[in-house]
Amino acid sequence: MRIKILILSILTMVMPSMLFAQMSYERIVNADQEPEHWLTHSGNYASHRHTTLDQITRDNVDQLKVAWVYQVRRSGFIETTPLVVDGVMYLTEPPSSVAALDLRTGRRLWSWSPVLPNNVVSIGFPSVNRGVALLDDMVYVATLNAHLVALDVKSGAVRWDVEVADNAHGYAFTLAPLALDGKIVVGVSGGETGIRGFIDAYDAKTGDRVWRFYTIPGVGDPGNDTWGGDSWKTGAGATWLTGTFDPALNLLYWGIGNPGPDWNGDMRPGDNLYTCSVVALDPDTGTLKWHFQFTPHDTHDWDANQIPILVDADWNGQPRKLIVTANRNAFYYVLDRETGEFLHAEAYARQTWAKGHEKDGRPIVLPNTEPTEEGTLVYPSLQGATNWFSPSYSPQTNLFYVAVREMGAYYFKTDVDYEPGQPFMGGGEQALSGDDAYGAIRGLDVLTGEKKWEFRLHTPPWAGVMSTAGGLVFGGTNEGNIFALDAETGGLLWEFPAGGTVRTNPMSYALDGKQYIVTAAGNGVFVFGLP
Amino acid sequence: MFPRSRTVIWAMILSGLYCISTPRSVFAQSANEQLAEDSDRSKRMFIVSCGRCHGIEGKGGTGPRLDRPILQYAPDDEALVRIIRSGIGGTGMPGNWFLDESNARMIASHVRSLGRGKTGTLSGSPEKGEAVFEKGDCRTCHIIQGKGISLGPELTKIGLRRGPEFLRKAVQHPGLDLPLDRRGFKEFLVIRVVTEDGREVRGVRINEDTFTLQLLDVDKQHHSFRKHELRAVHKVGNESLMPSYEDAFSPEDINNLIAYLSSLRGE
Repeated sequence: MRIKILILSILTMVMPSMLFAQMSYERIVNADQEPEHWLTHSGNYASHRHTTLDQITRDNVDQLKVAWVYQVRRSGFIETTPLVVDGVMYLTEPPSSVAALDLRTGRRLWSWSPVLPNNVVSIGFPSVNRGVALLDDMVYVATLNAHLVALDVKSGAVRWDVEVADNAHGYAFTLAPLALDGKIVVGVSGGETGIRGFIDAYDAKTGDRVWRFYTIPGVGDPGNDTWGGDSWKTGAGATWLTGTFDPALNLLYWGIGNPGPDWNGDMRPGDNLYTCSVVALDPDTGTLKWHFQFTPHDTHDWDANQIPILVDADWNGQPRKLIVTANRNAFYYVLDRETGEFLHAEAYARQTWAKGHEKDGRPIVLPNTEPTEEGTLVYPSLQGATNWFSPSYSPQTNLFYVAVREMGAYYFKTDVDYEPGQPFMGGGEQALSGDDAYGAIRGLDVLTGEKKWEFRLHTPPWAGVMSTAGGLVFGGTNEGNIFALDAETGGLLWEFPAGGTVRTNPMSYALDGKQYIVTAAGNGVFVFGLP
Repeated sequence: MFPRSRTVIWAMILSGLYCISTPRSVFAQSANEQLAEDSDRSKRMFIVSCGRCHGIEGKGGTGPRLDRPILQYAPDDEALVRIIRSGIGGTGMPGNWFLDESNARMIASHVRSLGRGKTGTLSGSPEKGEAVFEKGDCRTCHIIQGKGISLGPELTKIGLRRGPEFLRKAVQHPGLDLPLDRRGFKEFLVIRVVTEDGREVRGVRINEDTFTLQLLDVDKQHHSFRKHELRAVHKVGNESLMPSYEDAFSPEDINNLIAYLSSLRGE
C-alpha cells in the first residue's frame, strides 16, 4: 500500500496536469472562475459559450498553429464539444463512442464504445453525438439507441447503463447530457417518428430515474386541450439539445422540438403545447414553472431546441434576469427568465411567414404560408435560420453571435399514417440550395436583436460559434474553413483550411499557461495554439 | 411504413381472376390502376423517408439531387437498395434499417423514375452527328472516350446523364440552363474577377468557398484567388464559355448532333 501511495505521489509530481477529474457540482456552478477548463457543454450553466481566456487576441490570432490533431476512429460527422478538466479532454465520436485524451499530446488514455444494434433507428438526423457530461468521478454519455451510460472517469469502465426509452419506437439520443447537483438530465431525439417527447433526470450515482417531464401533456394535464383528438399521443416534441440552468433561481430551461407529423398540421389541430416552446422546470422535481411557445401549431419543423442563453441586464432601466435565443423560425427573442414574460422579438434572418408578434409574443402569421400538396415557398427553410449549433454571448461586447442559414424552401404536405418507429412527417421540402442560399455569422445586440455586423459565408453553415475575451469569434464552414472574426466588427482575422466540413462548436482551454482553441473538421479534432 | 396491404393483395388476385371473363380493356385498366397505385405508394414512401433531405421531387436539399440517371454511389439497383437501407458512411446519408427489402426496392424504383430523362424526339442520325461533332471542333473543349481537351463537361456518358431536350438547349443556348451539382450549385458558371492590379480574368467556376475561388479560363488555365484580394467578383448568369451553335449548324446538323450525343452511354 505504501509503495502504491509512493508511486501515486511521484506520478502526481511528475504529471500534475494528468490528474483525472474530481468534478464537483460547485465547480460547474463556478465554471467562469477556472477558464482553463471547459466543464460543461456550453462552457457555463448560462450557456454563454464564451471563454474569459484572453491570451489569443486580435493582434496575434493570425499566428495560430496546429498543436495536435485527434482523428476519430469511425467516419461520420463530429458534432462533439469536448470537455476539459485537470489535464484530460473528454469527447465523443460518432455515433456514440467516448474517448479520454491526454491534453498535452492528444494521445488516447481510454475509450469506450457501446454495442449498437445494427437496426438502430435514427430517423430524421445523422448518427451523431454532441458530447459528454462530467460529475464527480464519472463521465456520462447518451447513446444513439436511447441509453444513458455512466463511465468511470479514470478507465472508461461502465458504472451503470440504463435504457431510457425504446429505440425501436424512434427514441434516440444525440445530445450532451447536463450534469446538475447529483443529477444527470437528458432529452430525446426522434421528433420525426411521432414519439412523445420528454426530459428526464437520473440519479448520478445509481442511474435511477428521479423525474420525467413529458413535453406533450397527457389527458387531464394542462395543455392537453391544445391537441385535437388523440393527436397528442404522437405529438413528438423532442428535446434533442442540452438545456441551460440558473443555479440562483434553481430553474432549468430546455427547448422543445416540432410537433408530429411535421408538415401536416391538419392531423393535430390546436397550438400543440409544449412543442416549439422553451420550458422552465424545477430541477428537483421536473415540475413546469412556466413556458413560452415561439411557434404555435408549427408546420415547418421549426424546433425551438436551440440552446438558450441567460443574460442579466437592465431592461427599461430596471435590472432584469433575461433568457435570449435565436429561434429556428428566424426571430430573436428576449424573455424574462423568472416568469417567462415575452419582452421582445426581432427577425435576425429573412422570414416570410409572420407579420410580427402580438403583445404576448404570439406570432401574427401571414396567410398562404402553410405547406401544400403543390408546395409553398417560405423563408426560412425547414433547417431553420439557425439549427443545432450553438450561439455565443460575450459580456464584453454585449453581442449575441449566431451562425445563420439564409435559405428558403418549398414546403409540401402529404398524408401519413403512424406506425411505431417509422417516419411520421406528412410532407417534406424542396430547399433553395446552391447559389440561391448563403450563410453568415451575425453579431446581434443582445437586448434588441439588431444586427451590428455580418460576416458572409459561402453556404448555410452547420457549425456554431464561440466568443473570447481576446475579442474574437471562432467559427467554421461546410467547405472546411476554420476562422476567427473580430468580435466588435466581424472582420476576418484568421482562417485555416482544414479540408473537411466543420460541424461542431468551438471551445477553449489553457494548459501550462497557454490558451488553446479546439474545433473539428472532417474526421479530425483540431487543437490550435500560439507558437 | 406503407406495406403492401391485404386489400391490395386481394385486389391483385381479383383483377387477375377478372381477366378470365372480362374484356381486355377492363383488365388493362385494372393493371394500369395497380401500377399507378404502386407508383403512388413508392412516391409517398420516398417523400416520407427521403424528401426531408433530398427534396420532395428529388431535386436536392440537404442531401444531393437524385433526379439523374447516374447516381455516384449507386451504379445499379442493388447498390441503390443497399444504400437506402445501410446509408453511406462519412456522409449525411443515414441507414434506413427499419425499411424491409421490398419497401427499399419500392423507394429505389421511384428514385430511378426521377432520373429517367425526357425522351424527346430523336430524328437525327448518330453517325452523321459524330461527323458534326468533329466538324465543330467540339473536342477542343470536350473529352469522349479519353480523347479531346477538358474545359466543358466530359461527354462519354452524356446520353445517360442528360435528356435530348437538355442537350439541344445546351447546343443552341449554352448557359441558359446550367446543370446543378449535388449541392445545388451551377456547374460551369462563368465568373469574371478583377484583381487588385486591374487584371480581368474570366472563367468557369471550378470550386469556391467563403475565402477562395478557383476558375478555369478559355485557354484551359487554372486560376486561384483569395477573395479579399480581388477588387470585384461578378457571377455572370445565363452565360457560357461555349459559343452557341444555333446559327453555326443547320437544323439537320443539330438533330444529328443531338442523336449522337444521346447515343453516348459509355458502351
